Amino acid sequence: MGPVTPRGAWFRRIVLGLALVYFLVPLASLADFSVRFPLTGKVDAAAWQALFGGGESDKLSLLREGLTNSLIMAVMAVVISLGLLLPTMVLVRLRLPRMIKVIEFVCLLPLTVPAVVLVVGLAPVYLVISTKILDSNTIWLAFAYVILCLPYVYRALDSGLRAIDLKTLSETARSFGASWPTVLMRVLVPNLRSALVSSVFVTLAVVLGEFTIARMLARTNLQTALFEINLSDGQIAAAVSLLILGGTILLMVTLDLIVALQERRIRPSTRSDVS
Amino acid sequence: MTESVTSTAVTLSHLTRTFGKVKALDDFSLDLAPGELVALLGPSGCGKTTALRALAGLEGVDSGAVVVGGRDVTRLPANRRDMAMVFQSYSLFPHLTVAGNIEFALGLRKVPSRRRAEAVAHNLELVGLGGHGDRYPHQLSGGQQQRVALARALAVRPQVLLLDEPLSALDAKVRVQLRDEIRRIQTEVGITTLFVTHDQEEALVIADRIGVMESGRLVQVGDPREIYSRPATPFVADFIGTTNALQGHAIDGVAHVLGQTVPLLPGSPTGPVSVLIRPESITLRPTADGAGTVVSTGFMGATSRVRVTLTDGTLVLVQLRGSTRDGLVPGDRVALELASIPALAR
Repeated sequence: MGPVTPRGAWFRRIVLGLALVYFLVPLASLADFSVRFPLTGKVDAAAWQALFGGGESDKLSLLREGLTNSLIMAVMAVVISLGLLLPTMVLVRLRLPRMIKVIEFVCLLPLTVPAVVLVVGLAPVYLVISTKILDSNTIWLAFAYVILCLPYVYRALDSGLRAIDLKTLSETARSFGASWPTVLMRVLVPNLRSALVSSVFVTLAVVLGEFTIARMLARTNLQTALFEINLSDGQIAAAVSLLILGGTILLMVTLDLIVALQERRIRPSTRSDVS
Repeated sequence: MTESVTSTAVTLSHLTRTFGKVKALDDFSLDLAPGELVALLGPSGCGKTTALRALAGLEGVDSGAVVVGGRDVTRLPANRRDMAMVFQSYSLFPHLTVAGNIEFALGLRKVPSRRRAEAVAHNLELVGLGGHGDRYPHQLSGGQQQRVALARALAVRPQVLLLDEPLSALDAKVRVQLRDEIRRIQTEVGITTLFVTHDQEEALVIADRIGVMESGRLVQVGDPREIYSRPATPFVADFIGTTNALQGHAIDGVAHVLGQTVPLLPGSPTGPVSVLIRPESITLRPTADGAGTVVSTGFMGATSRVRVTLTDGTLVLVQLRGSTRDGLVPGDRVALELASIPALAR
């Protein structure tokens, strides 16, 4: 790649500036809305005090329930989707390469089905789950969220698997006596770290932001709780949205930094090859 | 000091493996004596890697048996066979250091942790990479990576060492250097080794015995000298080294070529034949009434190569010792003198 010209540098700065404005203006507006009463324009921190004041209210308990459910479901969705997809994709690439297209089609299918339509199919399934198999606890929505996340998790893992010499790595480990679980956990997972973190990010984002399915199946997750609170107190809803957004960004940046640090240790950008 | 291993005999017996309509292994049988290095040689797609992978347990077989150290391992998965493999592509685990790679393999073989550091240091010294233990694979050259892969394979003291074209990805100078080191180490350690290559020179230099493969079958097994000088089939003669096909007539175990007599190897037909003569089995004598005309000459250091055309248009390649082509220039008439070395006819 050639050197960056002054003109190119300015262009980059302008694009970066526009992108920052595009993303930060709505957030600033949200922050402003959380402290400014809409009708009078009066500024106070009542919404934030309600959140951090230590008091208990129906709104806060609803919010806590929704947030807890969403976080549990996010963890479940991450575990199930990776536990399901990673071994499958490895197996298919190593043993059944002709099935790659089939798996890809199945995994990408949820992209083509609108959430509302998905709910129509899921409603009877969850009726059975609620009454005959498990119960009506919101966390079982995690199964539906796995379906929603499949396309994104598939794409992340697919690019990760393409970047490594899967066959040679696994056969080398096998020839030294590694069982398949050992190959997966001690050889492939460490080399797919970036792809796995991407999968976790996207699953967290999808689950924490999901509203339609939970609302239509009358479950309480973070977004439905925010919706309920917003009906009666928009400022608290705005404050919580901002907090969650900030928390999610912080979490993702932290994870990304950890992975980047590890990657840098293993594959620094400046090679120091020995001839 | 080099720790030797208990050498193990290997028997591959009547192996057959089919991929669709292609027979990758067709009644393939091969024995490896304890401590022996056998090279499987053949063109791409001849089945040599399939044979190696069948021995490693990475490829199943349709029929036949794999016996290692007297134990039938045909149905054992790769991780339960006591073998170690070095691949053509650099197969080091990128997330582990050099020492980590070797320790990982030792850990899989349940070597006590207190002995691992010692084994790592010893085997890195063995391949000439002492002091490189804390480097990551990307910090090493291709040749160094293959040395580490070799050290890792040797560290676990496998019953059989499997080398799948380990030098193919390296540049010529490193390839020769590492080839010689593999042979030295293999001899020192005394480990039974199967080496797959498509490079005839590599096989000739490194192996105790060579197995030449064609279309899934082993067409000849023998020591390098035998394979080179007494090829069993025209395919072997063509594949190993260079040959000239000179027209002649065979009768009673000899062929009459260019007015001279050449003894024939068993298996040669009688009647009109093409006799396969090595370039170094021909010498040139300048003479005005010679049967050949020099087309070109080339100096190759210790030897020279001269191309000669016969009156019927046949192009003959002649390899002479370095100085003996002196004085020959294109257009010179020469007589071709054939050494009385048994040759194969087809």
